[in-house]
Amino acid sequence: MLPQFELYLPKSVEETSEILLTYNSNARIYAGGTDVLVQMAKGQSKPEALVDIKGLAELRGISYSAAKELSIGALTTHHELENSDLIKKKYAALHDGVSRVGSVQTRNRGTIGGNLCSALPSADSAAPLLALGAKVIINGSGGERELPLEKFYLGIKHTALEPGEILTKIVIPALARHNAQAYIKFSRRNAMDLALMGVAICYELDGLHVSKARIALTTAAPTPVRAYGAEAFLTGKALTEANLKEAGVLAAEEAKPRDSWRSGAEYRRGLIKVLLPRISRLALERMGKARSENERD
Amino acid sequence: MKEIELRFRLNGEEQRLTVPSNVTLLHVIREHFGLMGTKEGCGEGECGACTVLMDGRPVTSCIILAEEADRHDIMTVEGLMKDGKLNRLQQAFLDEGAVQCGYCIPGMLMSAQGLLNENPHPTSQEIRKGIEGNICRCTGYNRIVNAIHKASQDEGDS
Ligand SMILES: Cc1cc2nc3c(=O)[nH]c(=O)nc-3n(C[C@H](O)[C@H](O)[C@H](O)COP(=O)(O)OP(=O)(O)OC[C@H]3O[C@@H](n4cnc5c(N)ncnc54)[C@H](O)[C@@H]3O)c2cc1C
Ligand code: FES
Ligand code: FES
Repeated sequence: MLPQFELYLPKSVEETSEILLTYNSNARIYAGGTDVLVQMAKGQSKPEALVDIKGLAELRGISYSAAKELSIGALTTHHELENSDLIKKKYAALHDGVSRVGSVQTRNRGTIGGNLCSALPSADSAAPLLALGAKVIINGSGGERELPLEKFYLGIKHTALEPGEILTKIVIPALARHNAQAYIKFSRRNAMDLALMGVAICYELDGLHVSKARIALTTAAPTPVRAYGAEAFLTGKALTEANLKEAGVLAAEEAKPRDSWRSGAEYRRGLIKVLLPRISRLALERMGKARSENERD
Repeated sequence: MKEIELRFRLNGEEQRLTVPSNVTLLHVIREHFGLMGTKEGCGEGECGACTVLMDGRPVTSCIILAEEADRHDIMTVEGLMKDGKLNRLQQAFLDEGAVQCGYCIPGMLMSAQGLLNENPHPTSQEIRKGIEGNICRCTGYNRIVNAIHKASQDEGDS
């Protein structure tokens, strides 16, 4: 049996914000509930109130702006993203991430907003979004504001959301026409398992050279993180085997994985070294395929 | 704690119900409606024994608040039979010997039904992905996969 709580079904951000402020820190947002209800069922969380935000229409939908920025509402489920042709074709790294969250049932319910706001180091949408250069849009008591995703994460289970604020959208800025991207979640089982290591990459290319590299890791530090050293190394270079190998070594050095029952820190470092070149090759293959398909059209 | 009024469709029939806010959909299905097909295994979204269809898609009812059923369509394993006859998935599970202790089977069937709703002719890889959220301790899954494959090839409307 779940502990007792008051339930709210607000219809707007303002109303949500007011309820949250009334309860200080004792109310929790409830989106897909796949984290919140599990914690409550286990007795790890006893909020005085749950605020079900699924009535907030403005938090839904995937859309393009005139400036070719992609906006994803916080309530978009992993399943909706997994089934979107746009995400599959243009944001393959994100597609790789969301289609590996939990199980069919988890993805039918779990939202991308909830995945980011839970702020776990293993969040499977987080590394892809970092690699894609995503920003988050926050709204609430103090009006709307925008943060790079890197600044949203303050620590394990700790985000930059102030009291009364919620995450409304995730925005992915326009990418260079030629970009290679992918995310790999390395886990023991294919389903229902958290990542031992997750590596996401997005290389924007100018001819054969990398004009911008973004590399992000899950389960490699207390929060999902960028591997800035490896990125700097690859910028301006060609994606040769030797360069990718060196980038893997650099990313492994700058990561701060920990020992846990799932795996040791040294093993996780070893994974980064192997996985970074591996998914870079996959991303390049994908890009090649997409190019030759476009040429045929 | 306020009580909440719900209106929803359960196995094709309109229902009205008042519940406390802190009960799960699983609790309502079993304790209020007495539909015992839907099982509780882990109670944490991990095992899939409590899987039901919500608007045609599989969800784990142990981590859904009853409140959320309001104005939605819920189907449990009891809703699969039509006119007193097993549907083709249920029949295929029997024909293929896909059932041992049976505890996981209602959830398995609902995941399989959800898969076929979205993808009527799945490959064996797609079937395995479709039931990734359902744990079975007995069968080793092969016969379950075979049964779903068989049902997906049978002509018929259910
Ligand atoms: C069986 C199982 C397997 C799982 N496997 C994985 C996995 O493989 N990979 C993975 O990354 N995750 C996994 N998860 C975790 C979870 O499903 C995801 O993190 C999911 O995306 C959470 O979304 P939700 O909508 O269900 O969040 P909720 O549980 O509704 O909320 C999560 C947290 O975020 C807050 N919140 C939600 N939305 C907002 C918002 N818009 N603004 C502010 N705060 C908000 C809530 O208050 C809460 O603290 C798994 C969970 C289960 C039960
Ligand atoms: S009882 Fe719901 S998933 Fe195990
Ligand atoms: S038949 Fe026994 S758990 Fe699946």
